[in-house]
Amino acid sequence: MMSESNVINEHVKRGRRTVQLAVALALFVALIYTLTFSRLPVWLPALH
Amino acid sequence: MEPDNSAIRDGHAVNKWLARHFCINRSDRAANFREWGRIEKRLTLLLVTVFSLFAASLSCAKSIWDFQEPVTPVARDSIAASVDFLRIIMGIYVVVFAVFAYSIFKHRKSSGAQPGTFTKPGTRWQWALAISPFLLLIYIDYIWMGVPAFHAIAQMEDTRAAAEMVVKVTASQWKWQYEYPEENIRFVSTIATTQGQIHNREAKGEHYLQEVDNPLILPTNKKVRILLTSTDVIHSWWVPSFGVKRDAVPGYLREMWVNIEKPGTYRGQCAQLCGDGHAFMPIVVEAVAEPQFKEWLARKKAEGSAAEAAAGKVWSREELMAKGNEIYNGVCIACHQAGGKGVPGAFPALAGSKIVNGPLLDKNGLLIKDGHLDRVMNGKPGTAMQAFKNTLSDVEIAAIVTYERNSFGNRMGDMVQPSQVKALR
Amino acid sequence: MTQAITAVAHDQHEHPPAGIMRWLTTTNHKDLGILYMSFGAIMFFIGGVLIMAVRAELLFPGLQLLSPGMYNQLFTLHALIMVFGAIMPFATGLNNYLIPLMIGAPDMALPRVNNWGFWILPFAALLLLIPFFLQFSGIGSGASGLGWVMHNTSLDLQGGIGVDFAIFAIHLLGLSSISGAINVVVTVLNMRAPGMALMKMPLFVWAWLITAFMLILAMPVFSAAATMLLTDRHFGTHFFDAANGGDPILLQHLIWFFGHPEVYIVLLPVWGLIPHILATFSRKPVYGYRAQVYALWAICFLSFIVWSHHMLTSGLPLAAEVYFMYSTMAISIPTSVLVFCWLGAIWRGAMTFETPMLFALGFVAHFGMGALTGLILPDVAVNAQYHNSYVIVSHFHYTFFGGGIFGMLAALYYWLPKFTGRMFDEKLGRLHFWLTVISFNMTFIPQWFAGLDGMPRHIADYALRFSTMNFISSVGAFLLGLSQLLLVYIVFKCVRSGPKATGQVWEGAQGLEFTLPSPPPYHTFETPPAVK
Repeated sequence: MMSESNVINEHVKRGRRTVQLAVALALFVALIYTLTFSRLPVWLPALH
Repeated sequence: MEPDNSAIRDGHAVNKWLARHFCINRSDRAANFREWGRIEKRLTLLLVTVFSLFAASLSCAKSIWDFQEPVTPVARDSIAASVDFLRIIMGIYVVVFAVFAYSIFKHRKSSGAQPGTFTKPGTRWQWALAISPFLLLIYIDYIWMGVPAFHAIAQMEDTRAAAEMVVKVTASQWKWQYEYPEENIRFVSTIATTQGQIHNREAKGEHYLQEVDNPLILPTNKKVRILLTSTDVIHSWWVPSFGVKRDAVPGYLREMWVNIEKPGTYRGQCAQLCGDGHAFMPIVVEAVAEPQFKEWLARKKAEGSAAEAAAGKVWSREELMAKGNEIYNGVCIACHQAGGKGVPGAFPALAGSKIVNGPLLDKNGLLIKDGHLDRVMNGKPGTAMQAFKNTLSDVEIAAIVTYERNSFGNRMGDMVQPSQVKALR
Repeated sequence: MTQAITAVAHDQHEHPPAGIMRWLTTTNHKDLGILYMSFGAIMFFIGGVLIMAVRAELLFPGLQLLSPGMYNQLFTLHALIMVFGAIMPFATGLNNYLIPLMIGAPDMALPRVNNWGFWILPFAALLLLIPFFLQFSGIGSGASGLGWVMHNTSLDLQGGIGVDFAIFAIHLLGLSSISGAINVVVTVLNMRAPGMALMKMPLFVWAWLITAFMLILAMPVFSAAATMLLTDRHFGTHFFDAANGGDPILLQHLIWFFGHPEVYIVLLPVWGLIPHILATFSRKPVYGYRAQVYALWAICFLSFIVWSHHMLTSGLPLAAEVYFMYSTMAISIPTSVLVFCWLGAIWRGAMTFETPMLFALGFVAHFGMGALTGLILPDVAVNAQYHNSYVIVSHFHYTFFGGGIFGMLAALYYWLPKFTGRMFDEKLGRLHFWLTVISFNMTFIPQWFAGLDGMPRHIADYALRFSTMNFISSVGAFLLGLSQLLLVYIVFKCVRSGPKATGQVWEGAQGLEFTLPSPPPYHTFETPPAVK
């Protein structure tokens, strides 16, 4: 049986994990967005 | 009604085997026969609807698959592959949905079916049954249809080997320019259907929207390599009977080939959304036997030298106006409209236009940047107004400019001579 | 312990304000789910009205009602609105409402982001539509008329203000989808009730988790391509402008790298919810759960490596054509795993045929047609005949409407009693189904034959040989449009005067959402449920 403070700790931890994951995903989106500007497909001669 | 499971226990061996391996319970067949009378009309209706619509469409179609007649090796191959593939997928559809229909008719609560509790194949037989469609699918994808598909692509892309002549197609909004580089022949092909027919003021002709002023003439039984490019946006050259479609991309030279086996007139049109005139960009190819083709080439060359001679002579205003009217109705009218009214927000009006009513040449006899003649010869980048010096002759440019300056209420009173245009190129 | 969790959870939410403020400020996943779904439904009808005008123009050869420019705007808006305004928001609404209920979470992980993601949508839709209306008062040249993915690069550079508005709308729609997707991933990975292992999650949740990953990878590419187009148009860059050394084909690569996964972004949520409905009305457990999860992942992966089959006539090198042909064919394998599992779901069940089941079976029948016709298209030599013809229009409406919309309608009818607490009129529901089936096929079967005969897409006027097929198709389209009005009546009737629904709703229904009363209370699962 968990104590009350343990439950609250669990809640805070989950909140932190949520924010970390959300920020990581947002950064990933920004990375893909930026990468697109590098015109990757132009470097792939097989596509021309 | 309660299912009668006793028959499973003491029924025929086949029934037991089916029941064990494929979860088919045939014991309540007699009961189901009684149920047939009450079978949901809805599902019958579904099948009848879909198939009668399908059959109705087929009966309207000119042939069962409704393709246009193939006249090149590539078209014959690809249409044969397409028909095979259509038969295969219709076969798959019928088999799969026969099983679905069987289940829908058989495994209903109203006929007393007891729900199974299985969540995956149970016996070796069921696993075999579950895996086999995928093996069949892989076979269809990569061998049955995959191998012929590879050969068809290799054939389609083999544009250069043994090519006997070259035609260059240059697309512009919304016309095609055809060029025979070896013969030094070049002409523009535009839609011949009148605005009256399009706007329902006149009766529509047999080849409505699929007729042009100058068709592309090609010899039969000769491998013709076709090069494609575009001066403005991406277009796509498609004649269904030839089985080829290729985009004309600005900045690129694409290629394909045809070898027409049967003389005749073949019709197609641009297949890539290219702006307002997309529907009005037909392609007509006349395939003729080699001797007639030679004759046509000779005639076209004679016309060419006559035009060159014409460019040297001094033209009268009336001659230029008559010629200009003809060219305007073929080349310019699609955007600038009858009477030079233009389309507000899309294509500028020529009637009363500042550019058309501006000076023609500067005091040194040179082009004025963004002046009338400059705009016609060099176009306006980033718009549908292209550089017409690439597609029109000296006489045509001189005539069109003269015509525009003295029509639609414009009264500039001046004119341009073909020789001036030639000097300014 | 129960008390403690309630206490912790309770300080995050208050009771909803009354009236309009409740809907404007809500961060409650059920309210937002309803908002998303209502928005999707409204856009579905706007997109439908636009295409009715298009089909009216195509009823007979010749230009009767529309100028070609207006025609291009109408089909472009129809496509953008249906894909980004109707189908995707509706699927997002379903996930908002259902995912927390299905995994036993009190709400989505990021409720405020959720609210923000929704309220972007109406503005994005306005941006798409404003230039269309401005042209009637003489301002600008109308909305974008470039097709939904604007794949004709140099044409994009010519377009008027409508294109800029569309580019901004695409950015906003992308932002909304990406924020929604991040929310789904975070919720599913962090908020599941104890005991709800990943491989115990309902298939709808799995499907949405995978969809969210696809959105996160594909959407930024589309947004970036749109930004590059914007800078090309106004700030002198030359990413795509051939006249200045740019590459028009590059834009097609970027856009289809997004565009192909987008097809599955639309379809995956539907593939996820169909097994729920089939299992419920067959009174059986879900068939082939693992196989379906793996098949969905396989499709997600494959969808990112096949994009160029949308540009097989653009003159790719031979090796690329062969690669994209064979890789595209591979998608048929995981897809047929799903079809096989749907068959397993109803096999030896005890089926009844309520409206949601009819729509689910209708989905299987029509999507099957769309998928099988898709099997032929990657064959490069055959594709030369099909590409940009009405064959394609017919094919993708069998997947988007026959697959996407049929599936969404099945989901709407399935969960509508759960959302509203009232049953809908079953007789009218069935009538709606049969009218939709008949008129849908009447619309799109003739288009297939017009395409085989050589009719290209996107044309405002056609040659006389295509007249018969277009006439049948247009009449079918009008019937299809009219029969959807019945849906509005059914939903209103259900909300106002339907008989009360039980918590279980359907006899065979399973899943956490059916353990709650209908409609569920404003706050649910503040104490995580026990999952066996």
